[in-house]
Amino acid sequence: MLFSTSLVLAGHFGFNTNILETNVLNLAVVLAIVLTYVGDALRGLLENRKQTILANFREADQRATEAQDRLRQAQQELEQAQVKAQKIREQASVTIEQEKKQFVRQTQEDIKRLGILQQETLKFEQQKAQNELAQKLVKLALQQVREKLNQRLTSSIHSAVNNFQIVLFTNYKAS
Amino acid sequence: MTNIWFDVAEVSVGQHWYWQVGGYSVHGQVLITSWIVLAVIAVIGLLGAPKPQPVSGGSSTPEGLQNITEYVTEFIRDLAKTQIGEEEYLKWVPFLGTIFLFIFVSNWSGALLPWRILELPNGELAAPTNDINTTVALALLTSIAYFYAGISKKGFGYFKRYISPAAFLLPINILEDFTKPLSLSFRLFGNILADELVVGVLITLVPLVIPIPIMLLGLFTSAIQALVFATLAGAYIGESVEDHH
Repeated sequence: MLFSTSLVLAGHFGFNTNILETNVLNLAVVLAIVLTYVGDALRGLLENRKQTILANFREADQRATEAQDRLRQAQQELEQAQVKAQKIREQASVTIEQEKKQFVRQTQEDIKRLGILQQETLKFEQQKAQNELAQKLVKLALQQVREKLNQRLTSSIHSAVNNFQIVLFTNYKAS
Repeated sequence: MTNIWFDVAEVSVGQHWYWQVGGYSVHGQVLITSWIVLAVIAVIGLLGAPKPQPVSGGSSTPEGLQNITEYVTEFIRDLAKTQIGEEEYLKWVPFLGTIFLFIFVSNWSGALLPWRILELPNGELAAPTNDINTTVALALLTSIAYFYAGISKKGFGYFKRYISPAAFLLPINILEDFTKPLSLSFRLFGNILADELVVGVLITLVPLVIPIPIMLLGLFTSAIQALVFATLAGAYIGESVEDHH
């Protein structure tokens, strides 16, 4: 057996009822003193600690509510900012649309104007070329006529031409 | 050879109620009071354990016993912090707390409870720390603790402290490892035993009133001894974990 209690050294269990021998009276006094003084000190200490903890709790609660308030405020501000940002974005898109339209319109106008200018220029150049050609032709014809007249003009031919012209004029007048 | 050890083990003070446990003689009256002390600490600890608190809102305050246990815990944490240092102290709070509470409750139980009402077959009930075996066990636990603390932190480099600041101090440094548990155990044992002896002698001489101041003084010194033991244990642990570059 592992736990065999040996009662070899003779003796017995029992209660000592001798008040003086057991020192009960002195112990009672000591216990009373301890409970009064040490107990008082301890109670004060514990009460103090409790109050400190309570104060800390209260402060923490207060800070928590403050923080929540601030959070709420910040959230509101965020919402406002988001609304504003949305508005700005919409405005920007509208402006961009308008600018685009205007730009397209301007470009189209530019194209039209450029086309007109092109045609006018073409017409002008054509006329200029025609004029030059006509001038050259007239000049050449006059030159040839002058040459012919210088080379072959005799009195007979002169009169024949005059006659012919007169006939022409008369015919012209008659008609 | 074994006879010598048994002879050494025969060194004992006072009368004891021996139990035979597996070939060993143990001091039964010390074990009984130790168990009572352990039971008292356990009951206080269980009753004073912090109740689960609501996570948010309605934060309740520590009341009654919980307030006391929390205060004691804070006290031990402070003690450990001052002795061991900010970085390592948390690991050693349980050890120092165990040492302090066991010694404190033991000492006060010896000074406050009327153990003598109960008569044993042999010997008499008293504080567990009234027996040198208890105090030696506590002191050896402290030795193991500071060795463990130092070696687990610094490894083999822990032994450098034996040759610092100079190598010729090696014998003294080794001697210190023996004097530490010796002084710890004898200080506690001597104080408590002396208290009880003085009170016992005074009771036999003048049964009433005169022993009361001595008993109050005994209460004071036994509380101080618990504090001293825990503080020194913390100091030894702190000494072995501290870095000296």
